[in-house]
Amino acid sequence: MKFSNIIYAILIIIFSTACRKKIDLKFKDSAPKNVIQCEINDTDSIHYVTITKSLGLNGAATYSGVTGAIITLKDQQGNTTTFLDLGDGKYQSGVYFLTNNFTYTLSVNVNGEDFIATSTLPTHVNLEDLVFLPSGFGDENARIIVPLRYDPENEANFYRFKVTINDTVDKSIQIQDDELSNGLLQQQPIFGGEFPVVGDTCEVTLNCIDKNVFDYLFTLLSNDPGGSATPANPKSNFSGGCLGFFSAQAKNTLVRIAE
Amino acid sequence: MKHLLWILAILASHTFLLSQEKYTISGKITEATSGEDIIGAKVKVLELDNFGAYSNEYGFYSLTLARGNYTFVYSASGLSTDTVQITLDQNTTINKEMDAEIQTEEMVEVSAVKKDENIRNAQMGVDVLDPQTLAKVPVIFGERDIIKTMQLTPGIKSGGDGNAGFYVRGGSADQNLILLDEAPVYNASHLLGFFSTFNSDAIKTATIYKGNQPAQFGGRLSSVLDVKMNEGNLKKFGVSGGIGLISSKLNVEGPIIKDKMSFLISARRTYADIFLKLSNNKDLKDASLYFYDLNAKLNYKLGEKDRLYLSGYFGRDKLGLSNFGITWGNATGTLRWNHIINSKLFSNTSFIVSNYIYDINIKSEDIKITIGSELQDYNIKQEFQYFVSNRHKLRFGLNAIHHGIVPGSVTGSSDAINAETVPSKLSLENSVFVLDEYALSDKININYGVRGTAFSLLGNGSNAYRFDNESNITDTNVYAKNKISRTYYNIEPRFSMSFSYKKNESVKVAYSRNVQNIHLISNSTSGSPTDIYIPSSDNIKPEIADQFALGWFKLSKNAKFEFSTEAYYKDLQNQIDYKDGANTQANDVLEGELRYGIGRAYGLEVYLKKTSGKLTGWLAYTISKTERKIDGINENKWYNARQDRTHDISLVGIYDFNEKHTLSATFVFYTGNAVTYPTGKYQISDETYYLYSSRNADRLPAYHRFDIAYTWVNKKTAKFESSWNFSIYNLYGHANPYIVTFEESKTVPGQTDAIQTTLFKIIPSISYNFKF
Repeated sequence: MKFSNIIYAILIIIFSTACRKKIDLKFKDSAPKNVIQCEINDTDSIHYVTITKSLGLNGAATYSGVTGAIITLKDQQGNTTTFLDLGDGKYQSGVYFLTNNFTYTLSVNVNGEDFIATSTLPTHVNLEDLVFLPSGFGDENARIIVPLRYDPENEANFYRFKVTINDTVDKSIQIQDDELSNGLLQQQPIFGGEFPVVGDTCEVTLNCIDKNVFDYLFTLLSNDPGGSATPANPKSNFSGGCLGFFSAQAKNTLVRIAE
Repeated sequence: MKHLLWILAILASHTFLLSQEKYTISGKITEATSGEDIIGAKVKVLELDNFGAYSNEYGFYSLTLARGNYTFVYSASGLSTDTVQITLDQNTTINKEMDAEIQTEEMVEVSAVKKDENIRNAQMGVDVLDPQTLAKVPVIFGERDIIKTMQLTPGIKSGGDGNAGFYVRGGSADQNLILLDEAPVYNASHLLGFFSTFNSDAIKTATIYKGNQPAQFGGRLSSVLDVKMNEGNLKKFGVSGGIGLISSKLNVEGPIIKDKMSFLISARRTYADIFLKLSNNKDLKDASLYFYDLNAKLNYKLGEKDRLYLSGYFGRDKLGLSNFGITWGNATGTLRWNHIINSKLFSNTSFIVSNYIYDINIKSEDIKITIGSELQDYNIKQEFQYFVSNRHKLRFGLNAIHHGIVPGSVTGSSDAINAETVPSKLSLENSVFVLDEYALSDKININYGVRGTAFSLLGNGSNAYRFDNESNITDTNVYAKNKISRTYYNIEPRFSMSFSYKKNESVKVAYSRNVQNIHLISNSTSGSPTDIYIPSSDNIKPEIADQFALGWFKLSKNAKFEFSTEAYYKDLQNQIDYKDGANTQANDVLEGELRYGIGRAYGLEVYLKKTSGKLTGWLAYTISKTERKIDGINENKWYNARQDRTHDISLVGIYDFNEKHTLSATFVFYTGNAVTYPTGKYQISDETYYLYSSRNADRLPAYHRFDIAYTWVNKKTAKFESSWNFSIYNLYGHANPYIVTFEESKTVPGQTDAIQTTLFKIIPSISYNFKF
């Protein structure tokens, strides 16, 4: 959590004279870059890669996929799978199972350019339960979700959550670490884009991620509006100068009705 | 110390050889009605034309002359001139009490002499603000404010609306040393910068040195803001105060033992949150938003030659919503002992404690977490002023500061977190200094000096890490508690010279080196109370600045206008910034998130002042450039510092219709701050994020604003005085940018909208002030 963001938020709330308006700025557009995303999970046997291009600020309405890439996934023992081009920038692996704590290498060749990333599948941490607390903001029935799990004591663990409320996917990136709570029952709430209300069906997926991916997402989030004064592109774990990341992750999901 | 005295004596020996049958007249100059020491009062010798001396910061003066009959003319701004005739045939003490001014022919002439000071003094880049000027300049919420008014002078840039910091000649906000009665104040703002911590009712003077500070000051690169509190009236009780829309204040002072011991207590409290209670919004109703502060001082004349001062400041800010809050504030204490050793040697001994804390509280039903940080200084300072001769005035002394910094500790009343206390970082900053104010001739004045600093890191019994460029730990050491693990030595030469090549005109040159060992690590847009202070360490080297300045000064013939222009170039070493995407939360590997490099700043300042007549005021203009080059940031290329601002203009006008009615106005215009705008966009997990290229290569829209204030003294008698102050901040309601953010257009798919947030449009305020 960034305190400057919170202070900023309080300022904006309190000084109700604060106002927002659209202004005209001349945008300087940089050349399009490849954006490669790949999340492989220990519970899945088929894995996907998406490749898109970045756009100018006043670019097209949709992000176009990059086709024709050659992609292979390999573990530390040399077990390999190649990806099938599904079109529109989507690629699908063959049947491929992951092994705990193995390091995986994803090699992507786009039009002769190589982008290579590695990621280690972290220890699997079980999501034990979801607890709902009153949000304290606005609606009395609004809840915040606390995903409970026991944090392993002998290592630094990094977590990413994906939340779906009544079939609506919350697209915001939710990450936590155990810096202040190593080895304890994790009780940090998820502050998502929307708060569920009592009676909503909440599906929470916990992905255990490695440090590089956590750092990538942390930087990506700290560029959020109102945050960092000096925003910067997060450091991708791909070599070769593209955007995006490759993450091997231990995954499990719970569904609960908000109460 | 004896050796040092010897050396100093030799330095000035030629005057000793020449001196035969010389005697010294010395004493203290005070204000008759209150007994307050007068700083910078002039003692002029009528028989020796322009010759004289100024009282020091404790009102002490000393003049050494050959045996003879002399007429001494005592003068000070706003006070009536007094004359003493004596035959000087022995060392003589004359303590002078000066009465309030009665406008006379003589007075006009004297004030002209006083104004001449800025032309002749070798000191450059210095500005003094007195409470009288302060009272008339319009400010936000009608609360007059030293720091806000300082920002209207050249070379000093405001951080903008809602920003606590100020920037001097391209330096960052933490490179300003802010002293309240010698005690450093680490965060000089209330309410995130809307008010400064200085309650102007308790302030006697404020002086700012913009980088070429004399050698008695040290520890920061860019500036010294030296604020002195009033001492408390030694003659009679007085109460003054003010009631405003969002704040009120009260000031009580008086003698405890008449002419011997006095006190002053000054308190302020804001109550903006009372208005929030009227809101229908539940979150706003529960919000807290206020600060209070207290200044207190006790002063005791032990005898003719000794005086004790005890002064203190305590302030706290509270800001929060129902389940989240921040508290922060400073506390300082200064105990000073002035001793007049003899008519030529003046001593001041100070013990200073300074403390800054912040606490962040997060609470929900069963979790309560506090994240806290604390900075504590213990400071001993011994300074001598030796009035060697009328050509040489020496100052020398030493200073030892023990810094203890807890960058961030986490405590919680829950089983959800591990309490984490980052151990206190301890260090010792020792320095010695000597400087000489030397009048080489009637036309040339030189101030030269040197400061030597030894900054020692003290072990704290926990791990000290070293990092490589990739933030990896390369070395881990444990240093025993309070044992010196490393010392950085630095020599800081200071030099300035004025040459009055003709009456009322002079050129000045100056060079200074400044060294800084306590660094503020900040990554937020607006400077936040939760920014982290850290000392120099194995990884962080002392920051160094070398500043060169050249200036031209002119006073108009009728002494009504004062014009000056100064150019500066500043070279910075060991500058610090966060690496891209740093984890800025305080922890024991924070230093691994930092990157180091160099900086440069240069500019030209123009200052035109009108100091007398019905219309007074000034025009200040600065053109400047400030850049940084840090390893691993912006592809190792030069980039604009956040505070880089090409143009900065302030225009201040004060019109006194008569004793009762004053109208004042200010206009401010400056280039928008350097910021980084996105240059593209992409999607991660179906959400749009922005692509960035060069750091700080873009600009916020330019800032401008016009404020007016009207002061009406509705009652003024010998016993009671009251006035109303009406002001309007940002009269024409220009929407100035606080930040600019980007979002996808809701109307045109694919389009990105730039959205500007403005904090203040028009802010009218009214306040009532009284004094009896």
